[in-house]
Amino acid sequence: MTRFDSVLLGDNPFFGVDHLSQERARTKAPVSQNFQNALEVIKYSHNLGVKGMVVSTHPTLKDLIHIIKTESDLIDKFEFYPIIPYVQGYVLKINEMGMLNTLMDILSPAGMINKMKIITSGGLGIIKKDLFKLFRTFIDIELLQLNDTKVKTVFLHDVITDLALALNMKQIFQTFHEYLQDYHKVNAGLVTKNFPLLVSKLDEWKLDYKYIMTSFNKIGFQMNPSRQECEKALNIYKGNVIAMSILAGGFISLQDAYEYISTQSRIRNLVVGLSSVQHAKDTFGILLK
Amino acid sequence: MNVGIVGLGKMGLLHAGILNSIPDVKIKAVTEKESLIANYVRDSMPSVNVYDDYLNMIKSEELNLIYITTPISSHFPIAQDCIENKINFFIEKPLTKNLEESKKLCKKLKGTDLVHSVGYNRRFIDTFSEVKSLLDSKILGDISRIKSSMYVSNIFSKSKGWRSRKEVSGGGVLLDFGSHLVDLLLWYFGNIERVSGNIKSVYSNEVEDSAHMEMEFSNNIRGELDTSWSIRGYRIPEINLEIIGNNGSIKVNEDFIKIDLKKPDPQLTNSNTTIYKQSLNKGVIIDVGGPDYTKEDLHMIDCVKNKQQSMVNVFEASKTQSVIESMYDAAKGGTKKVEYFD
Repeated sequence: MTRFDSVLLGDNPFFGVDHLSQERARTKAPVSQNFQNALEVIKYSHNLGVKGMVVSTHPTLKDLIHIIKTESDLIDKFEFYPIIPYVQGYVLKINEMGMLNTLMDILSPAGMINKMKIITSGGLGIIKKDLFKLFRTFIDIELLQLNDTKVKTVFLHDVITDLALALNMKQIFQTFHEYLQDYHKVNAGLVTKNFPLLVSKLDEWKLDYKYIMTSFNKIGFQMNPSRQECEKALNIYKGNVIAMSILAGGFISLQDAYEYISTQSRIRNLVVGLSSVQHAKDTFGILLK
Repeated sequence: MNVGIVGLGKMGLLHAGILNSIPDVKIKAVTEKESLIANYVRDSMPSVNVYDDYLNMIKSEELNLIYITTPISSHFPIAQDCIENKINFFIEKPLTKNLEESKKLCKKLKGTDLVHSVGYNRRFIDTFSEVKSLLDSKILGDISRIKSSMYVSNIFSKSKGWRSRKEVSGGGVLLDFGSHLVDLLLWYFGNIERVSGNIKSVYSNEVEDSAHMEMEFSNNIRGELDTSWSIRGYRIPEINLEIIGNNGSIKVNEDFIKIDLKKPDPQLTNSNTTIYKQSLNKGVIIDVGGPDYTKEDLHMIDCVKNKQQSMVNVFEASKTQSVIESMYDAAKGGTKKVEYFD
């Protein structure tokens, strides 16, 4: 019996992301982007007890979902934990055309459902003037790809979480929470690289976020301001932590990662990215033992 | 310390977030013309005064430091007004849209005790700063050859936006992303004396989408630089540098440093080793878009507090501007000597 409540798959390796080396990612990309391989990994992991997958709303996510749908019963059982928005895509778009053009560009192909909502909420002119209407429309657009899938919790990407946190933008956190729970009827979660600060701010703002995804690993990689402070915050935060980067982007061994995580009894959920059935066998053989 | 920010686009917001998290720093005012952002700041940040004209902000506020995070063509006039009003400033890279403007800024800054910095943040990435220490300790012996590139998969269609308009951006990939690489090369190896090469436009009408340059440094080092924003496989901007000396070679990018030495060095346990960013990593007070930005802003604030000149000051950044201007010249034909100015 595993000591974790849930172990989730991360989708990054399927989309050619490698946190140890982008150079290595480039040499592997053609293999990892073979979604048939992704399906085999997902099926295999699911059989071992992996309940779901953390996904970014990358433009090709719909292709991966399409392939999973070919296994008719898997799509009904397998859970998705999207991290929105797909920040990397937007950053490049902003580089190319500036922030406002990017916003308008993203709004344009929103599809009928969103266009309807844009019209009922007063048209594009109104949305352009109201940051929070815009934010809610973005959430709708980002979740379009996940229609007809089992979504439990939607996470706000760390770039947005951490910027809003740094700027003390309580309203962003409030809006995200309320809109997902009340309108989309799913849980709201946050991804952060600043776990202790986030925990203390949520407490100050009296916001009840039950899910935070953040890095925990023995070398303190992406744990700010320090590993020790992050460990202390674990005892303050009452919700569920989903530990990511447990291998510090592939820098530490699975055995070492497991030993460290085992010392942190408050961590009961994990996410790990992997790209082959063999890798899944090795990884979950240790994590689910 | 009272700080003002001109331009709350992507980089302005990022710096605002970091500055807001540094003890003793107070964001007193911002200038933003776009109503969506300006209205939000007005409504939810009552302690921050919002202006739509930076000159009004400068005149109405007592500011110790201004962050200039606007499109490139407005860097020069805003910096000039900061100097005239004796306010320290930080400018996002590149310094100005052309060399002429950089020269004028340097001239105006000479003899002042203002603290100024330019956003060449790659110097604050752990792998690149570690290589600077290794090179300074002469680990490679005499360096003879450098291969360098900066790539990102960004532009694959006719581009809209201000970056593709030469009048606003000053140039294409060479000035935009490539300037980071030129800054690192100058920091590592000293002045580049002569350049030759070519630039190419595929998607952008007014600016270049790629550039390839040969460089001669003052100390007999020869090198090449290749940059493109229209190349597949680079999800995020990536610099790769290969440095060859008579005692071996170093390969470095944002992720790792690969060292291959003929004769072992007392600093290192192995003569062939790879140092990953993970092992150089230390936490920062807040991470908004990368720890290097936090370190960059902490450095700026420290410099202003201690009245010390920044590591990446306007004089330094103007050298990058000289090199890039010569590269644009060389692309028209022949080898060009890089003219630096005092």
